[in-house]
Amino acid sequence: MVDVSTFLDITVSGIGLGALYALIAMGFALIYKVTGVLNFAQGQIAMIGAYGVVFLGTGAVLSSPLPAFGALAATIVLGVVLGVALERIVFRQFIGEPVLSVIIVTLALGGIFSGFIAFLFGRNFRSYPAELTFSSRIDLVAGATIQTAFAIAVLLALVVVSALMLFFRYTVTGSILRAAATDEQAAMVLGVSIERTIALAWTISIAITAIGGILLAMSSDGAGFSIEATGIIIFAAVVFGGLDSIPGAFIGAIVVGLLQEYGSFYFEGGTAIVDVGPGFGEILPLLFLLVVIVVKPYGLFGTERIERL
Amino acid sequence: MSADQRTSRRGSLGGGPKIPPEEAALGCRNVNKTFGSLRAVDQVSLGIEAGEWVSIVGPNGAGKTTLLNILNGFYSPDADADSEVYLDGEEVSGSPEHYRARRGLGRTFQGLELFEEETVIENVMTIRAVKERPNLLSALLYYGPGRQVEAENMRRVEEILDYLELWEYRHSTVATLPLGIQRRVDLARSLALEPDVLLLDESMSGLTFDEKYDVIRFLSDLHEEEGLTLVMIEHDLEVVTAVSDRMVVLEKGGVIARGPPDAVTDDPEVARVYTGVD
Amino acid sequence: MPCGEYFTSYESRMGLIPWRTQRVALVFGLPIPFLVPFLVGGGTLTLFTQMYIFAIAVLGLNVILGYAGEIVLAQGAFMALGAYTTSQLLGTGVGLLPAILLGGVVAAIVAVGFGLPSFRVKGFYIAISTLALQFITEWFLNNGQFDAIHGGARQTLPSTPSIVGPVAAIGTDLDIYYLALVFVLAFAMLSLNLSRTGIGRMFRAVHENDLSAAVLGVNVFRNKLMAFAIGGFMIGVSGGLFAFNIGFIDPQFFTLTLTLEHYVMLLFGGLGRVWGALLGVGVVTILRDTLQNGLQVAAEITGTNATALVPVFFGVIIIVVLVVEPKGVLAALGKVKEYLRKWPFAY
Ligand SMILES: Nc1ncnc2c1ncn2[C@@H]1O[C@H](COP(=O)(O)OP(=O)(O)O)[C@@H](O)[C@H]1O
Ligand SMILES: [Mg+2]
Repeated sequence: MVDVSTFLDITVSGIGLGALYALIAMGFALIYKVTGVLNFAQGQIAMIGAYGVVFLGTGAVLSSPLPAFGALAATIVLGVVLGVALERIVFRQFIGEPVLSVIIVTLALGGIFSGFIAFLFGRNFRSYPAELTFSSRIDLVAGATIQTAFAIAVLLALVVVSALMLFFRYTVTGSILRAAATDEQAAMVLGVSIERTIALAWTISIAITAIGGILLAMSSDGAGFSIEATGIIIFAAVVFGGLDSIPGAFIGAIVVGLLQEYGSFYFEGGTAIVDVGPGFGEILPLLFLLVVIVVKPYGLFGTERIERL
Repeated sequence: MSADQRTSRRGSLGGGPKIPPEEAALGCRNVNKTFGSLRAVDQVSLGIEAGEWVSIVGPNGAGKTTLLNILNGFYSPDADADSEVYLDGEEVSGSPEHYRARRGLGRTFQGLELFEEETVIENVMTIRAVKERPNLLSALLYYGPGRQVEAENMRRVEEILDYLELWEYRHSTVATLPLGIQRRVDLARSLALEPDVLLLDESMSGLTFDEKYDVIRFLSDLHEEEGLTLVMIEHDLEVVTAVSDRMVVLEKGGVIARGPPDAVTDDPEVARVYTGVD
Repeated sequence: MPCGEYFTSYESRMGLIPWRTQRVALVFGLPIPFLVPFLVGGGTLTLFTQMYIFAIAVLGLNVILGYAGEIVLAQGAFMALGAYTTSQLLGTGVGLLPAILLGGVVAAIVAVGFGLPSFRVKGFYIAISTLALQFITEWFLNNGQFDAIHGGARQTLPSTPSIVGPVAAIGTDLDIYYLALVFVLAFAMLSLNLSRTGIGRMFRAVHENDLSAAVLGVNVFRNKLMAFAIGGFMIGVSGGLFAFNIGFIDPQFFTLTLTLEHYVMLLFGGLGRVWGALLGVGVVTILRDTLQNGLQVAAEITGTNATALVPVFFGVIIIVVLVVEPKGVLAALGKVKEYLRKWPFAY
């Protein structure tokens, strides 16, 4: 039966999980807003973050791994480098190409990334170094507690969403980007400065996505291939939020996190009210996604673009 | 700007549509279109008689293209109770654009909007298929009727290409052709529909004098021989006065003058719009 | 027009093979697949069978993505629908052909269902809703709660069912080879026909410029749904054949990797080209097999997980093709041929 304090606990972890997703979802929305690329490789990029720490910080591949926090920092730097590299080597080739091609390119990148990770680690769960796993939970009001990884995610997601919103609203680059997003011609004219900001956007996007992946791994004490599925789950968040809206992605992600936690608690296994079978927690956001596409395809904050002839 | 302000500036040739929209080959009553805070088309009523050649003129951004888009259903006008669109006596306000095209409303586009990766003949064949096509089964099997329809379509399309002097380009990919030819392909595509009314959106812009002359020649022949009704957006007033039976002047979404070309071009308000603003 | 050849009538010049040389090539080429079983051993024969089965799915993808331009990311799901339906129906004794065809119908219905949002949205939204379908299908098939519907995640198919009702048992490798061959030829023919008639043209118009197509009378929504139905049917049939060929089904056979693989095949040969799709399937299958064998050896020698690198190669091929010649290898060959034909003069 629905018990209030359990419900509260689940709500808290839903928000925590949602905040994690928010980092990855904002990584998606940022890139879409600035470059128009719909990145289908977000899940794999998050996984790169998650396994990056395993790679650098444990003895899984390297014989002399870095200390845990060094590995963490180095992974984030790696994410930044990857962002720049992807923009330079791959996405620059596809500026002005049809959406279809660009989507397929990101799918291909996803295949490349997950193939490499499977090559290095197998498709197995890999534990994190002990320093990066938190056994303790943080107490909140009314007896509710939150996992440490989730708490970090909530704080970080709040910082990122505020920073990005302020950036788009108040900085010159932000307004250039806003103009560019609505008017390709303007983007052309503005030329050089745009190029640099696009690189910056990729950097930020991949860095926060990788961090999201790392925190996701921390929340279950290690990296697993299930992180790959985040790539599709965050679509539910961004579509609900309105696709190119940063705060929309944030809110959408929280909703999705809640749905997933409620789904896996109330519709799966021993605690279920109605047991729909294992894994329903991750399916519920996808069903939600389908409903949003049918009922409100432009989401909370998205506007329908009026086509011209 | 409010409606009465504009009424006060309206030239002597303001007035209403020539014939009631519901009796016209193509007509509309009190249509509006708002984009955000911009009123792109403002209370426009038109009644175009079958067999007429009407030109729509006005400065850039006057709402000419938007008006065409409303007429052929690409945009639905703002939801006002009294706005209506008529095609050949039928109210089509609620019908989708593809229905109106099949009912005999053709269109060319300011930005061409061709199927760029296809050849000229494929472009025209595509729209010809709207007019006449085999059912799915006979298409998949390509037997009897399916085959005959395709052959007949091909014959008709080749006639059109021949007529518009596009024969030598028929197997070229559209994207590789010069603008003048592309404009003609756009026209050919519409003709494949065998329309009763043809909407032309700046079909001559960017063309050389000779190319313009050719297009006018084609259109005049169609107008005279087939009785095609033409609604043409055109900036070149010389062309407009030479060919059209009537003209309609739009400014800031509203009709400021309409009537026979000579009378309209002499109108001081029209002169102001053309010399002062544009 | 090559010198010395002239068309005589509309119908003959609109044929699939208008030129004499092409006709000669067909006369000599067509019997080859029918003779293959007499020329190669069992293992290679199975490889060919598998190629034909994949070719059917890729031809289905070609209708939806290549012609109508809709990104569907549910190859695995559609094939699974065909496979599980076929498996379930075989148990009822309707015979193999009806089971496979109904499998196609089920996939087509689901495909059309997922095409319905295209009434309002396009492109990306269809891509993600079909991607969601892929994940939901995998979950559904693995879920024991739904055994009553799908009959269990892992199933063994009868090895020698009758073809229709109780008539004629089928089951040897050779039988399956010819069955798959007949299907792939039929679907290739249907695809070519579709492409050269008004319906295929409208599909392409929807792909190239849906806005002007609509204003010029193309019912965009209807055409998209039709493409989903036709393509979905083909992919479902491919799934049924796939299940029957292997004799065993497992949700693991029908994952997103399959989608990626089919994309490689189609893009390699060229979107919207039937011959390209067939070429792509052939080349990529052989490449994948060679690669897998090579990586297997490498894995054993180095003790690493080298076989996991297959998707990396797929990904790289896709990106390279899209950068170098987005229209695929066939188009690139066409350009070379055109260049040589005109050389040294352009005429
Ligand atoms: N889809 C749209 N979204 C927003 N504004 C639009 C759209 N289409 C047209 N407009 C605006 O409506 C006005 C009229 O445009 P248009 O009809 O294209 O003018 P014209 O064809 O007379 O040059 C312009 O100010 C234009 O910017
Ligand atoms: Mg215009």
